[in-house]
Amino acid sequence: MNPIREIRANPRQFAPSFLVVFIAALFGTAIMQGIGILSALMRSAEVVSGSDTATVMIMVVGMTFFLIALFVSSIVIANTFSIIIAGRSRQLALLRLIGASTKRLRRSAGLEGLIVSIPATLAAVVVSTGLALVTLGLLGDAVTADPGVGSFQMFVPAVATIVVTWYAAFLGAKRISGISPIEATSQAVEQRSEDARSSKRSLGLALVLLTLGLIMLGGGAFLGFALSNPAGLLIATPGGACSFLGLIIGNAWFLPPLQRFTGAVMGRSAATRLAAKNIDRHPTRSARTVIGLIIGITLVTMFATAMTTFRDQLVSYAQSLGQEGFEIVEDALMQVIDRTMLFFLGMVAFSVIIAVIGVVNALTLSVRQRTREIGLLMALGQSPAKVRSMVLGEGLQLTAVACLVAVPLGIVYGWIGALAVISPLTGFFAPSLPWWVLGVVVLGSLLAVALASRAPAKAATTINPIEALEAV
Amino acid sequence: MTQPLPDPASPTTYSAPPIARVRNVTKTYASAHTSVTALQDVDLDVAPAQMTAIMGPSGSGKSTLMHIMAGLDTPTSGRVLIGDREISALDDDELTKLRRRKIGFVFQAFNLISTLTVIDNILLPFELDDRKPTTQEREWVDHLVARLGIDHRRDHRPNEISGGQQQRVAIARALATRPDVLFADEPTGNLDSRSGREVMRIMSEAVRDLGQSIVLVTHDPLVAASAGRVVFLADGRPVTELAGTFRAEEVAQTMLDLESDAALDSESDVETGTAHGSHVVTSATEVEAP
Repeated sequence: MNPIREIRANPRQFAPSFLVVFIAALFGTAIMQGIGILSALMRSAEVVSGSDTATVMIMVVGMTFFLIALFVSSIVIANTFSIIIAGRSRQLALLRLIGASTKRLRRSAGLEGLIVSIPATLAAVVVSTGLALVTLGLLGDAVTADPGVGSFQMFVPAVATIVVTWYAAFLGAKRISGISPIEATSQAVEQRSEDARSSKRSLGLALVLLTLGLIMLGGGAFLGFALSNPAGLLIATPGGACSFLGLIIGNAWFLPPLQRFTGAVMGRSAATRLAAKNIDRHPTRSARTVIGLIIGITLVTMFATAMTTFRDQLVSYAQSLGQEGFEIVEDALMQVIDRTMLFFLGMVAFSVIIAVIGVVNALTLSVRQRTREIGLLMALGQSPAKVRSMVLGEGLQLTAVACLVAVPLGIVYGWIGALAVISPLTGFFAPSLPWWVLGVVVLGSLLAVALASRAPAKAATTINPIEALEAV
Repeated sequence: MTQPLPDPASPTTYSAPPIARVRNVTKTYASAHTSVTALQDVDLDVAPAQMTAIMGPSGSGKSTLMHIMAGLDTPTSGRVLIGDREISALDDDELTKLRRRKIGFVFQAFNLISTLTVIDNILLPFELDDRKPTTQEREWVDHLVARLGIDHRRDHRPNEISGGQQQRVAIARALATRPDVLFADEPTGNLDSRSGREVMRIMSEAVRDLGQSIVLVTHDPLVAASAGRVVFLADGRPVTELAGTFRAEEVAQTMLDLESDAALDSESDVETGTAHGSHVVTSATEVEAP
């Protein structure tokens, strides 16, 4: 009810939101301050007059990645709040019963988000500014111009993070309007199954965006390799964004069947089946957990595929020209491309980290809300090891679904991007797969989720069956 | 809203106009294949400054009736009035406001917000109304707190006090806004018999000394015996009632008769294989507290 009281009563449930806000705000502020220092350095050295253009370019790229990280954060935060609200539905029903309006309850849930985001963002600003000052100290006399590390625009991303968190918490609290005051009057209420699908309108929008996006993607690639027109990228890029947005909006429609599929494939042991059932019971929540990971992994795969393909094609094109002494240029070129790729991957890594936190957070809260059920399972003779593998299985299944969608999607996006850019020179080609990046991102996220799910798994097995069954 | 109402089915006459009125209320729950009638054409008047108990076998529709009278659920057809206000026509915002200002609730368990202290729980209705209690209201709350013997527990949290004390806090909260009607759903259901009696004594005193109107749903004849009037429901409609002076034994006997009637009914259904009218007795259980 009173947001501060809620946070004080149970601060731990807000820890993941705090962390996510911190990372997003740190990322945004560090980009701004880093660019500030960089351009100050260039101005001090009186490098090219075109340094302003370069600064703007870097700024645009950096801010794009920040916005992506912020978007993923907002999904994670909205999901966190919707799970917190689900766990609190009993109390909310009581408040509804004695006369609290849904509007008011939602507003105060939003305020909880605001209150969590402010210290997290402040911490991020302090850390980032500290890093910037250390960097400036190390650069010493090389920077004579004012980098403006403390100026107002440095903190615009931080403010944006706060606003987005506030709104995401409000959105996540949407289910409050579905809580009936009657739920408070009876002794035991089974949690209603959530509505599996979002509205038909969102499906329609998703399909339109997807179709439009696919047409533009195909058109862009076709312009490149068939008509040798280098303008393809200008069509393919918005096409990619469009289709991806379509998938994100329509996630509640296409992810649950996929989740069911991986659940069936993962095996038939009791633990895996229970894990699959848990995912299936909250299709929307699971889909939202997964979509954050999908965004991150798709972007990683896309950049890696595009860059690797681009590099390979460029090299083979140069070789086909057969010029002497090209090796030196070739090496330099490959280095530049690889470094650019690493830079992009580093930028996207923030989104992947935020999404992994989201998965672990969903697991933690889902274990906490199933205290009774897990207690019952253990009373019926489920061994702690099996309970742990159930939690682990849930996390791995969610991650597997994300990889299953994101890797092919990223490859196609990256491939089409490369086609649009370079096929006017080389003609049609197949994508070169960045195996090590794919391996690292898939195994890395599976491993990160597996490791991080040990805490909720342990929490699940420390549940005392007797207490769990008594707790109402 | 002021149009004359038909005479209630009950022949009892009141000196003051009823505080709550139910007219021709029917409630059916329709699902994909079945339609279940929880209440059928119910008429009921609730007298002010009296405790009215609603009893009946499980599935008789007593909880549904209370939910509808309190504006928590809407009737399929018929009208419900609190005072002169027809609540079956109100929207969610207005119902919320009504619950905040005109209605008090006490029920079986989970009555209090665990993160709030006793006194904050009691003052919650004012906070939800976005205002501070007036001096007068503050005095009233202090009076209630002293009267219910929870004065020394003011700053405790719900989990630090006994179940009986928690229920007294819930009653104090329900009475804090001087509601027109207090609805109590199995208020002693989770208490040991001593705390249960204590809670019923407090409720009876609220009626006697404060003129509070109370509607009580219970299956416990001892609890119902504290009421001035007991209305018995069976199969979704009032079948009989006790008023004036009666003892718990009479309440228990009436309940037993109703239960055995219901049992006989369902047996004869099985034997003859005929459908039993338009309503199904057991099917209303899904809206009942277990």
